[in-house]
Amino acid sequence: MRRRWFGPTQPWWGFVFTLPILVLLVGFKFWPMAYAAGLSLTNASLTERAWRFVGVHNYARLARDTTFVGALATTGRYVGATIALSMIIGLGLAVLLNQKIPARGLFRTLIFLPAVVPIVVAPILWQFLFNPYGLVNDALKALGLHPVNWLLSSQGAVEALVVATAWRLTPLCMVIYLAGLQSIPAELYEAAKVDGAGAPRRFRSITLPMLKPTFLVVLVFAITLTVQNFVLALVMTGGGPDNASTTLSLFVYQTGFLGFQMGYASAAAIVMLLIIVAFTMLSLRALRTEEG
Amino acid sequence: MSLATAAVRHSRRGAVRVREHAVTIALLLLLTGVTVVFLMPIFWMVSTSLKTNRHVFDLPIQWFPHPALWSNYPAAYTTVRFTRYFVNSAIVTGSVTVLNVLLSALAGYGLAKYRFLGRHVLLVLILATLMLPLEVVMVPLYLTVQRLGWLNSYQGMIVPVAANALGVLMMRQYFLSLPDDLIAAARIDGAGHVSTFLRIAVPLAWPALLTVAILIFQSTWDDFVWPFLIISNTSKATVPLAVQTFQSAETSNFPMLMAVSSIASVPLTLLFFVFQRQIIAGVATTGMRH
Repeated sequence: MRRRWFGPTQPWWGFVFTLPILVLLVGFKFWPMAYAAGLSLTNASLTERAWRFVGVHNYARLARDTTFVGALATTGRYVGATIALSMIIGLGLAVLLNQKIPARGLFRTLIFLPAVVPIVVAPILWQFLFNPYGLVNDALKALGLHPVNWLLSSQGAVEALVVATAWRLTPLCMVIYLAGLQSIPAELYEAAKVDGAGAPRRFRSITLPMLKPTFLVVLVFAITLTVQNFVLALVMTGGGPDNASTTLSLFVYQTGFLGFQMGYASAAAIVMLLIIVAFTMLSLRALRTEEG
Repeated sequence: MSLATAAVRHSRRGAVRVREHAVTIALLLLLTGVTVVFLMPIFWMVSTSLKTNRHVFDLPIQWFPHPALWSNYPAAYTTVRFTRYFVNSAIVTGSVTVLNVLLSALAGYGLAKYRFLGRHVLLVLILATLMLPLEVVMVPLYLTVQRLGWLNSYQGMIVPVAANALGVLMMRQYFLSLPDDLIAAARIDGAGHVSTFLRIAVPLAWPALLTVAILIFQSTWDDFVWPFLIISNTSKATVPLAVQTFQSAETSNFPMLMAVSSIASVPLTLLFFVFQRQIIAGVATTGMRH
């Protein structure tokens, strides 16, 4: 009888191969995760040695903290507007680039370029574009509209952040959509054409339903990326004016590293994690019922 | 078939073709418009970087500055002292990439080619870390690295971010598609587990290894948050940190700021143009990771 090559005799070698990365993941992912949960129940501070267990005090304080509740609301508006913009424009672009037109490879490359701009450069660039005398206001004036004091008004600061983030996120969404579009069998379109369905009808009856799983994937991708990222807010607006553009992740950074309240910041971080996990799980479930 | 119907059919076909051309041209115009809007910020960055500070907000808008001040670039490079930061970025990014590819290949191989107890649980645990962004654990991770004495150090920037589940996922996927017979043959020839991995699996897997390497290189070079949190000593700073430091000091010297930004954008832009196929495919799979 032939012996199985990887052998039931030594399958534990598989574990040996996995061990190195496991050590690092435990040390720098799982341990910090548990540490964060633990810290969130203490009054830990960066400047003081002694920590005390305070139970759910930090979470109760979060609920009463107007800055935190404001950051939560800002995050909702910021994330909602950003992903709506990126997902709709990204879908439009993907559908356009999926047509038989000349030079579409070139267009795809060029439109992808904003995603290549370093993440620290994007906010510097947009801060300049949203300058009171900047290009955005020049464009508004050319259209006969009133210039806006973008970064110094509480409404404008969030809108500016949305535009800057969507600028970088849209090409990423577009590329994921394109992969989804290319996996739709061409025969479906051919058959619909034979049956006399026009382009809008084909889009509504074939593209949209077939793209539903991709749509969920893009949604999770976009939400996770936007909720966690605070580089744009940090560099572009610093959360201002008067905390108007402080997002959840920026709140965690400011509380922990500028306010030295490690315990309190960890409680906010746990809330952020719960939001990310909840959205991921919901979408995964939607995806599973879709496939099942 | 009468001559008349043939003529009608012919003209109808001509009309269809004309309409198709019109649609194509309309689509091209639309795409060109969108592309111009998307590239405008980048164009404006380069355009501004070639002006004097006095003429930045001139109206009517100076799209192509005349004369173009190319001397802003050497000036920006020496003011920021970029060389030091490029070297630091190269050290950190290179080490993270090598470590990550190695660890991912090992784990991907172990999880794909061995049927040991608990491998499914292990895979799920590893993949679950994808939901855990650095921003959530930045406080405890900072405290951990502080305890290790790694603040302001290369190893502090390298080791905590060297393990990434995405690489494991991609390598496992690749090794699953590798026929078992190849490995079986090597094992029958008496090769050990490690030498089979090194001499059979790794050489075959280089396209997947390259893709993982490019993606990790790109995201590590671009990373701002982690170095920003643990590096306060400028001699260890990476390029993104140097750019941000310059920005917070020189908020109103726009041509210089845009020249610095352009210089900092060069490496990732080059990487993109060389490995465009892998990067775009990588984004598509990153999104599809679930």
